[in-house]
This record gives sequence, C-alpha cells and structure tokens, in this order.
Amino acid sequence: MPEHLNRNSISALLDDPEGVPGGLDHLAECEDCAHEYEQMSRMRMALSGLPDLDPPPDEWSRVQAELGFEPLGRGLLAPVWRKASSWPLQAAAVVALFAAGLMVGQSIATDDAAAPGIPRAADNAGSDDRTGTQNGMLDVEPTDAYLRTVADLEALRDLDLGANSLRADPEGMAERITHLDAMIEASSEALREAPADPVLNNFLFQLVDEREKVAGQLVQTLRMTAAEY
Amino acid sequence: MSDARLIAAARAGDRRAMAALYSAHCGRVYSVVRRMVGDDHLAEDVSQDAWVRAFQKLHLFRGESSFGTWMHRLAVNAALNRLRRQSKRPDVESTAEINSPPPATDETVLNQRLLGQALDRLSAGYRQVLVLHDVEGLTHEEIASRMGIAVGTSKSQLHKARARMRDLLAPARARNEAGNHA
Repeated sequence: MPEHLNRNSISALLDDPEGVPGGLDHLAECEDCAHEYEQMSRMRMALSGLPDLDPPPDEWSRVQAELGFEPLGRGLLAPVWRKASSWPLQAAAVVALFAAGLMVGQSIATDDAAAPGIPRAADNAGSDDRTGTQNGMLDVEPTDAYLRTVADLEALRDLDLGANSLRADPEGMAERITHLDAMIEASSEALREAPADPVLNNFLFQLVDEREKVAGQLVQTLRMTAAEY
Repeated sequence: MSDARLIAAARAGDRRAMAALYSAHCGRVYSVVRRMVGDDHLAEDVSQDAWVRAFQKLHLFRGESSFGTWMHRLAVNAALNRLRRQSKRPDVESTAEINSPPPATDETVLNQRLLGQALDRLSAGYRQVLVLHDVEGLTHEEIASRMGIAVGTSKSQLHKARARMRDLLAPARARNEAGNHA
C-alpha cells in the first residue's frame, strides 16, 4: 500500500474529489486515511452548522450612542430640550413637567375636598402606595396651574397636528414620528406618576393614534415611491 | 415588515426600523466577527463598528443583494481590517504542517463549544480562512478577493487550518474516549 495521505491532501479531497491524483483510490484501500477523511468531513459539517452567537446585550445601546442618538426612555427630555426648541419637543417637555404640577396642585386642592373614605393624595405623602395616590386624584378639583398646563398642552398638540399637512414627504413624516415618539415617551413617563389622570390618558391615546396614522402614511408614501421605480 | 421597508424607514431616520434591522441581523453579524477575530473584547468592538458604519452608509445600500448579505460583507471587512491593523502581533499558535499519518482510532468530539475553543486557538490567518470557508460558506475566490491573497493561498491555508483543528481537538477527543471507557 502506498504511503498515507497527509491531512492537507485529505482536506483537499473534501472540496474536490478529483483534486488529488489517486486520492480516492487510496481512500478506498486505506482504512486509516478513510477514517481521517470521515472525521474531517464531520468537522467541516459541524463548522457549517455552528449556530449564531448572541451579541453583547448592550451592543445596540453602544451603537446608538456612537450614532449620536439620545437613548429612548429616561434622560430623553433634558438633552432634547437643550438641543432643539421646536414645539413638538417643547410639548414633550411640558408633558414631563405635567405630572409634577398635577401632583402638587391636586395635593393642595384635595386637602378639604376629598370625600370621606376615599384615599387622598395627601394621605399618602411619604408612602409608596401609588394606588392610594391614584384614587385620590380622581376626586380633586383642578387648580389653575393644572388647567393652564392642560391648555398649553392642547395648544401645542393642535399646533403639532396642524403641521402634519405641511410635511407630507417621507423625511418630514419620519421626523414627525420621532417627535411623536418623544411625546409618547414623555406622556408615558408622566402617567407613571399620575396613572389615572384622564387628560394625560386621552393625550397619550391621541398621540399613539396619530403616530399610527403618520406611520401608515409613511409606509404608503414609500410604497408609492418604490412603485415609481 | 420586510427588510426593504425597514431600510426605507431607517434611511428616513426611523430609529425603530434601525432597531428592527439590527435585531434581525445582529446574531449573524456578531457570530462571523467573533469567530474571525477569536476574542470577545475585540469582537464587541468590531461588531459595534460594523453596525455604526452600516447605518452611516445605509444610503449606499442599493438593494442589489439582501441587506443580510450586505451587512455580512461589511462585518467581514470590518473584521479583516481590524485584524490587518493588528497583524504586527506575533501569532501565538503553531503553524507547523501536520504530515504524520492519521491516528488509527478516533472519536468524534465536535460539539460546538469545543469547536469554538479550537477556532480561538488557531492562528489568525488559518482562522480567517477556515471561518470564511467552512463556517460562512464563502468560495476561495471570494475569500481571496476579500483578504487580498491568491486563490491558491486560500486553499492552502484552509487545508492547514483543518489539519490544525484536528490536532487541537485531539486532546478533547482523547478525554472523551477515556471517559467513555471508564
């Protein structure tokens, strides 16, 4: 029997059975080389079947940071407020401040107004029982500050809705979605402080509906643009 | 939503579309990068760079291939570029050619963890070609083009890499064999 095939030749045979003169004939006769061929073939198959690895859990955050995006969620408002003074972002900031004003204003207003047996915001001062605070908020008289904040909020929202027709191009719609996202995020943040507030809830629903509408328009526009090509 | 729609939205600045594209392809990107560079920390850096570059250059994506293919190419190039910059470092892994006859007996210990460990121990040159060919399925022509080497060099490196992998896996096979007999 001729000498054994070296591993390079066996590897070459895996990719090109005709690539090594006499190689296949040798494999048919030599048990050791045939065994090595089999093992190397299995290794190649195992390599081709390796599953995907999980990327580091913070990779997307780092990518966003590199791209200069502000992280969504906590910390969104302050940097956005500094960077831009456009009214949708101002609205987002107003929403974030809304809850604080609401809490303070309503706490003052409820001192004498709450019905017996119904928990009041003031009752829960220093307590982590948010449910009691929420219930208390349902039975309060709005303060002037609260009404002014709501009015400001609605005015800003109307400005935002009115501007929609001005920017029908994809970039404008995408920009608007970004603004709406900011407001949704801020509203959600505010609702964590005042979950039962009907004005905030209504405001959030309107924002979400509006975002859906704009996103649908964007998809439609992109589809039409694609069809033109 | 299809990649095409996501790309259009991402180009328009929709961060959720970007996140969706990332989510759909991050595993494959990280995998090829990690296996090519053979190091966790370096892989994190290179994979992140690849994604940043992808979103910065998304306007250059023409749709001639799928986004996944485009992104994969970008990731491979990012890994190769980083490894080239580090090529002055000495290869710690032996590159001696294995010409001895194959052992008479063998045990197939090819589980994924062992394969991953063996890949990490390969020299960078062997590892790159082996990963690109046997794991990622590139042809020698594609590998030669990407790495700036001759097709024959790619083939030669691959065969040596496979042989070296067999050597690196041998102790594990032996331990497994001993365990089975115990």
